[in-house]
Amino acid sequence: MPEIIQKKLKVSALCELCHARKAVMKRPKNLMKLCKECFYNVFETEIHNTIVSNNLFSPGDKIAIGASGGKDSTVLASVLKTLNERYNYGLHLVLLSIDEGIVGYRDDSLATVKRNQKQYNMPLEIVSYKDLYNWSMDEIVSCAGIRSSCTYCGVLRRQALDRGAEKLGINHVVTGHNADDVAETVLMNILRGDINRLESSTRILTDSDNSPVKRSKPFKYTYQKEIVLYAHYKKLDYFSTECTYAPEAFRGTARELLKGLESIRPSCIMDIIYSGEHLSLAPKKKKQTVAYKNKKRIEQEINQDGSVKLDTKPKTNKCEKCGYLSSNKICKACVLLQGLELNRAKVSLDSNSAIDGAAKLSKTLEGLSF
Amino acid sequence: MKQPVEYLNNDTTPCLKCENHAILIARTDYYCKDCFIRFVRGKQRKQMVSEQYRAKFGIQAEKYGIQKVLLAFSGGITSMVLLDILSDLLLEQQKTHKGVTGFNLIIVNIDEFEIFLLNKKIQDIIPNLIQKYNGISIEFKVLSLDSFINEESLYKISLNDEFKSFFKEYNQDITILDILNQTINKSSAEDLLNIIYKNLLLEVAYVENCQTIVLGHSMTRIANEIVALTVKGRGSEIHESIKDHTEIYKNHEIKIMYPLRDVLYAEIIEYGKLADLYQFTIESTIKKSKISKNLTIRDLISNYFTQLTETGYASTASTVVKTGEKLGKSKEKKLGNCKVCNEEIYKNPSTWLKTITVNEPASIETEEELEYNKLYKESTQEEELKLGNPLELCYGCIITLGGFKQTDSGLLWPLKSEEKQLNYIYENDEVEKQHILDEYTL
Repeated sequence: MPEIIQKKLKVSALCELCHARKAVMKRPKNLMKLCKECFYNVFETEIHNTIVSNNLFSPGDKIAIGASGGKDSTVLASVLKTLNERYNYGLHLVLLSIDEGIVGYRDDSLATVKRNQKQYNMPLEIVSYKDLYNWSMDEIVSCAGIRSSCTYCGVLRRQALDRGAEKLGINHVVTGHNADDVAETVLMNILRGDINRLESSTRILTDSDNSPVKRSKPFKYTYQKEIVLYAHYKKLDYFSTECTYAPEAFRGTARELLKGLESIRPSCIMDIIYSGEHLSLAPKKKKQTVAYKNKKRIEQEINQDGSVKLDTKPKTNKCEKCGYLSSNKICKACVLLQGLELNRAKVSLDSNSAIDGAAKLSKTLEGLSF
Repeated sequence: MKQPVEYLNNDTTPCLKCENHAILIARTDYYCKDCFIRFVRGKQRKQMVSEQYRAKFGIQAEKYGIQKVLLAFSGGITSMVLLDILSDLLLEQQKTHKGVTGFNLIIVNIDEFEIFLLNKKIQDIIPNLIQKYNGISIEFKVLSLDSFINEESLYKISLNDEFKSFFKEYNQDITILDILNQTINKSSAEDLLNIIYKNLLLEVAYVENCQTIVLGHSMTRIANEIVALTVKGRGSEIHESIKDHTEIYKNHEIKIMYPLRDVLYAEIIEYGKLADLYQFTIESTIKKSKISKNLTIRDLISNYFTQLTETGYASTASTVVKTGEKLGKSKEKKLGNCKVCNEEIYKNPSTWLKTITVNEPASIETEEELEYNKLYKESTQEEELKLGNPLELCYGCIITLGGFKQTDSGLLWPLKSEEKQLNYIYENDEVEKQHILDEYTL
């Protein structure tokens, strides 16, 4: 490459880490000027550090990657594959996709996942809402309206991911949630006063009682912008359209705020996560109640044979309807679906295409111009 | 969209509390002018209901001694409203208890004339204020911002690539304004000013034997503070700094209170208008930029809250304050105290940052790369920059320190905060007279 040698680089144009190659980008996290190689190195090493310091995996683990075909999950699959080989994690990686049934959005992104499957040489499992619940998201939206779409989709997806993982005999799903998502959630929980989630919002590994499958976010400390840059430079194949159904209005305001804050202090995403890791609730003050003298005693039932009846009420942690693990009698998904069932149209037109991609239509209309 | 306070036009609806015509709606209730003012005053009284602030006689008076309350007074509308409310309380106590009041009021202003390019000097409005509240005796003090630094105790604090901080001695004449001007990030300056104010107020309270410091923060402002602390990586401080709490300063207990914590900023503004207080207020002449890049963290967050009110999420401020009040001490192990802001440190900030922000290069491979690397080394002629001795800082201060150019300046800061000489720019006649009497009366 004689031309490059002729045109000598200035020292100030060199990468600020290796001082040997030309800097091609400004790193969003700290605005450091880096070359591609150093960027790949810091990006991948940081994720490796996160995985190791939090003991996310152990050798021989079977891990499902929640793959939507979007940039986060595509980069996650690519990086995990790279790290698994480089550091000998000994992981068995599988792609797990959920087909919510959103025409014009999910069908296209699933095509991307299928290509990824070949590119990364990983098995792929697709679980669809229609098969699981007999409802596609398009049908739900046409029945319940667009405003609550994210509520339904969120609850159903959580269960669908669990079921998909169980089907594959896997008890650990990794998702592409990034630092921006985590920071946004911390802010949201404060703004909405969601006390119950405040302490756990920054947890990297969630392990809840009513789910046999644990989840983790290896991208917890990874900036969204860096994921985009990584995907761009590595020329990864991803699907870049947002879900066609409207995003939650209030979350939108929090996202705007975060963007503004990031523009004045790029580290603020990390800062919020650091804060989030320290938030904890004050111990509740016990209310002093007057102890009544003639307080009613707890009644004890005696069986016919004179024995004492024990509290035989089993601690059900299974949904009575679908048999899935749940802390309530009926799981949240079944409650939502029950409500939907009541409103389902009794008669429907044959091949009613108005339902399919209800949001896609409005998106297409928005794009029209005269 | 519905505003927190709405004026009525020729409405004949009676006021909630009396028979006069209501002039405005606040929190869905109708109020006339006097009753609205009373309503806001009531909020302060509810916060300061303790025996400590009431007129006391006999054993109670002996038990509590002379109570002194320090009002942090910026000259802005919120502190002006709090001054108005407190003077009203003192006047009422005087009337009902034959001249006895529950506490003495000391008003302390930290001079911001230069730093915020204020439109008036506080010294010029004080005579008007004394005239307005002439029934009660008030001490006014204007403190120089530079009281915070003492030439002998200045140190230069800097950060290395691994987010570890160091300090070394630095002896030169410098003002707070100079220090703050060295930052390349406005939010860093804002954060440092917060630390300076808190420290100076505590020092004055200590020197003047005040048991209480009151601040005019409205509910909206406290909500702003909670979000701002989170954004600055100071989440573990929230529970302490936004509740009414007691600080131990030089072995003295000093109570810090926000008596207007139940009042919305919009209500304070209306109080200010109705009580005709705007004639006394001081404002900065620096116009806030319209471009968000030129704003500070606090500016951005207050814009956000204003915008929320306009889009129908007006209750967010109160939700945030309630959430903040439910927070407690971090469950992490305490590692020590920050040497700049004195807050508690939990997770080791530099280790935390180092794990998630790698600063190691990819290996150098080709001949050409090696050559460039050699060129770089020659051009810089690296002289080992001696940063000094290691210093323990909290996460928030490390981030703030990151807003300073590390190579030539770093942050100049007094580390031995005990040695402080308060330098008053102004004290009102009453105080001066007392000083002379104290000195010369036998």
